[in-house]
Amino acid sequence: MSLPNIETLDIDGAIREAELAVAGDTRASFFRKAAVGGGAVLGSGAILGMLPTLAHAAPSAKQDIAILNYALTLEYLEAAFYDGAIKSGNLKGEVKQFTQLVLKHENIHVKALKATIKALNGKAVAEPKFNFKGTNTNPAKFVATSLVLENTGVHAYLGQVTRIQNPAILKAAGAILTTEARHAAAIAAVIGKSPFRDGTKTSVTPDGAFDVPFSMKRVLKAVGKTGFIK
Amino acid sequence: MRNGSIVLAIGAASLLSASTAAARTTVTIKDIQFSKATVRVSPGAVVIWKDADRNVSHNVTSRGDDRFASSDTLRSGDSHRVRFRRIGNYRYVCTIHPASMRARIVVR
Repeated sequence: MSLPNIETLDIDGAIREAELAVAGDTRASFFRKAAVGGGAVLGSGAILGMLPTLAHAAPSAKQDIAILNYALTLEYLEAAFYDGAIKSGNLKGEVKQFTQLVLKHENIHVKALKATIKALNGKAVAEPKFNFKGTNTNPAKFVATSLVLENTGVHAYLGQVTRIQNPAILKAAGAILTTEARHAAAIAAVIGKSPFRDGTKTSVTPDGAFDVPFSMKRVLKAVGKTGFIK
Repeated sequence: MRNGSIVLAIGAASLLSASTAAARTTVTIKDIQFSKATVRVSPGAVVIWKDADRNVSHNVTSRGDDRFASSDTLRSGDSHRVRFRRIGNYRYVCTIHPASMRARIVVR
C-alpha cells in the first residue's frame, strides 16, 4: 500500500471542496475580505499569515470523517511502531515500561477512531503495511524515533482543531492531543538530552509555551519522507 | 649471564605490561545499558565508562555505602574515569534510566 495522501483520506471529498471554494476567490477579493474581516487594514504579511486558517475554514460533517481517517492513519502507524518494538524483545527498564503503556493507548485510539467513523456512517481507511527500518528494534534509535512520532501527533491534532465541526469529535481530539503530548514529554525525559530547556528537539516543550499546529499536507509529507508506510 | 639478564628484563616488562593492562577496564554505555553488570578489579585499578549511545544521555552515579566520584551528564563520545583504591562493593546507576541501567564494581 502506498502512502495515503489527502485524496485517499478525503473519501467524501470534503477537503477538496474546501480548497476549491477558496481557490474560487481571486487573490484581490480574498485580500479585501481578509482585511475587512479583520476590522482594519492589515499588512500583506499578516493577511498571508491568515491564509492557512482561512483556506480550511469550512468545517463539515464530511470533513470531520476525513480528519478522523487522517488521525486513524497516524494512530495505526504509532500502534504498529510500538507493537514491533515490544515484540523485538530488545527494550528494557523504563523504555519498555513506557512502550507498554503507550502501545495500550495507541491501540485504544485506533479502536475509538474506527468506532467513531462507523458511528458517523463513514468508511475507515484500511491499515497500511509498515516498515520501520529497524528504528523500533534498536533501543537508542527507538527512543529518538518515538519522540519524533509523538511530537508529530501533537502537531497533527493541533492542526485540525479549528477544522472540526462536531463538538464531540473536537473534545475527543483534544483528549488524544493531550495524551500524545504526555507521551512526547515522557520519552523526552527518558532520552534526557536537555529535556527541560525550551526549543530543543529533545525538550519536553520543543516549541516553548505554545505548540505549533501542522497542516495535514505537512504532516503527510513528513511521514512520507520516513518511508515507514510501504 | 648477560643473556639471563635480558630474559629477566623482558619477563619483568611483560609482567609489568600485563599488570598495567589488567588495571584498566572499560565499561561501554550503549543501547541504554552498561556493557558489564559486574566488573571485578584489584585495588588501584582504573575503570573508564565510555558513552557510545548516540541519541540518549546518561550518567554514572554512585549508590550505596561504598562511594566513588559520580559523573556529570554524559553524551555520546564522553567518558568518565575513576581509580578504585580501596576494597569495596561499588554500586552505581544511570539516574536517567535507573530501572534498566544498574551495575557494580567489585574491588578485591
